[in-house]
Amino acid sequence: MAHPESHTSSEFGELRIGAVSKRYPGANRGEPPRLALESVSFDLQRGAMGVLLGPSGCGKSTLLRMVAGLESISEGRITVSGREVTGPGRDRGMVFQTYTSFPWLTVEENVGYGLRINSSAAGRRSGVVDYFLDRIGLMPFRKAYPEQLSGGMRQRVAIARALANQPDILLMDEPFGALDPETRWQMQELVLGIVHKERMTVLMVTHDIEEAIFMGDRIAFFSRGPGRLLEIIEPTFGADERRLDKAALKAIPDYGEMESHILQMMRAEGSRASEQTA
Amino acid sequence: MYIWRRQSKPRAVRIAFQRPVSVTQRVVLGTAAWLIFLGAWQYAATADLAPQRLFPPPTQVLSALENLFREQAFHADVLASLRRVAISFALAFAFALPLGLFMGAFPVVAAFFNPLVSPFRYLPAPAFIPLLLMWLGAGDTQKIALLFLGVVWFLVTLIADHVRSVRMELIETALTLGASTRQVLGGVVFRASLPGLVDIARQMLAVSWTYLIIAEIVAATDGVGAMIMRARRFVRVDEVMAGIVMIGILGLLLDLLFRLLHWKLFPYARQRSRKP
Ligand SMILES: Nc1ncnc2c1ncn2[C@@H]1O[C@H](COP(=O)(O)OP(=O)(O)OP(=O)(O)O)[C@@H](O)[C@H]1O
Ligand SMILES: [Mg+2]
Repeated sequence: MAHPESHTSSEFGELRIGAVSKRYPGANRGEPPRLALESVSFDLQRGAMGVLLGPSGCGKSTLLRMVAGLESISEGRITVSGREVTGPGRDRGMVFQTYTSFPWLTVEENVGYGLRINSSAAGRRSGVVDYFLDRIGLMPFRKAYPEQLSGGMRQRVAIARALANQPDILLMDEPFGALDPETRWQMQELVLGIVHKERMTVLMVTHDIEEAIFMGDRIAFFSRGPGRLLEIIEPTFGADERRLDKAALKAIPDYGEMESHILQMMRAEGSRASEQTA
Repeated sequence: MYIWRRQSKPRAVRIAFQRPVSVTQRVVLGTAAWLIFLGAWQYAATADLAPQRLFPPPTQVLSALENLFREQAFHADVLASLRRVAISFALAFAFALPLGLFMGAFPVVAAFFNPLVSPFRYLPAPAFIPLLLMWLGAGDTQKIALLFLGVVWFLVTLIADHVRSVRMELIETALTLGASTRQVLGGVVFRASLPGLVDIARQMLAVSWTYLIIAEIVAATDGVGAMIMRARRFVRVDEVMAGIVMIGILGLLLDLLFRLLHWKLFPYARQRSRKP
């Protein structure tokens, strides 16, 4: 690490969050700033799936938005592929919980948007767009407008749009939160499949413990008020068969153990929070 | 079964909250309202409630309108009025669009201009007529300036409000895809507000149209408003009414034109009335 700013190939896709804190200004004038995150450190290797888990309000979205460059960093330092984060950029693609398809563009134009504004050649662009449309199974809907799609389809468009732009890391804030369980499960498998194939680094936020264990290589569990990293959990069991399907996952004894461990932490956080407000 | 039952009684007009009305029902109801209105007018005018010279029936107004076009070159007045509205509105929109866009997109710009623009909206444009007459004379420039003042501040505020309502997630998505400030402003903020901008133009055009008559009543030699004032001098109530009817018709046509524009330009914003 002689030249931390230089972009060497060994650092590609690496995420380093170093002792990051976030202070939001007080809601009213004269109120002191509120500490939303306190000294959080978390790293991801290229191709790893990181999951931010914790009770509501613990600062998961805040951390993700700081990595995206959409929120200023009060203290500490975040680097992606060795470059320090100072603002949003195409190396960090983001998928939001709400629908963000551009309504005036067709499905294929949405997927190709990033490539178009970054003036990639039209020929290469259509190749990439076709590839990702195929992966998300929306080839038949390429000429449709987002308005004509279901919620799950729109979220697939958003994921394909972020991936087609070839970011170093993919950031997702509760991307499946608005979907029904069946679609949710399909989307989880779809994303895992694509991400492993592309060796994409992913950082995602979720409320869902099952989703975290199913998808995550590294799960960061946060406490609330101010948000602190309580524990990093690495579900190493079952290596590959864990991701074959949900039923196989749940049959693994280690899974149940880990789930109840996380559940206990969630409960403890919940009761701690109610003590604070009492 | 449910669908079949609904189709078996297509003509039933039932009053219920939020109950959709079919196209046929809408046409029938709308026509009925007009027939009742015209019938009542015709009856009142012919029943000698007032001297017919001061309160002519609709049939007489219609023939007066026809006569205006055939013998008094009314089309020249109509064109003069349309021209004034078109020029002044184009100028007002061209002024308000960049200002509203920047105010809506950047709170800093809004904080600078808002204290200036907001009070202007409360100044009635006709109050400027004496000033405009002194500065610009009684010609077309003064009328166009009045029409401009009548809508421009509302346009700025409406456009800024609408642009501000563009969802932040769309902007942030574009930023994380690598868009520059300029690309976000033109390609996302402006593009996302475009259908709403056409709607704002349509609604404010109606306001501009109401100021037109005020502009033309003051020292004008041509235009629909000037014709109405001429007819008043000879107590030709039928021609005054014909002029008012003409204004209504033109306003309606312009409204339709903008609705058509909206429909053509924004296929994605069409309501999903017909499911595949
Ligand atoms: N723009 C902001 N201004 C001030 N405070 C904020 C802002 N955004 C978030 N906060 C505060 O920071 C804390 C963390 O919020 P954040 O949205 O990151 O939580 P979260 O873990 O994503 O919650 P959830 O699971 O409900 O989405 C909360 O207390 C919230 O009130
Ligand atoms: Mg959140």
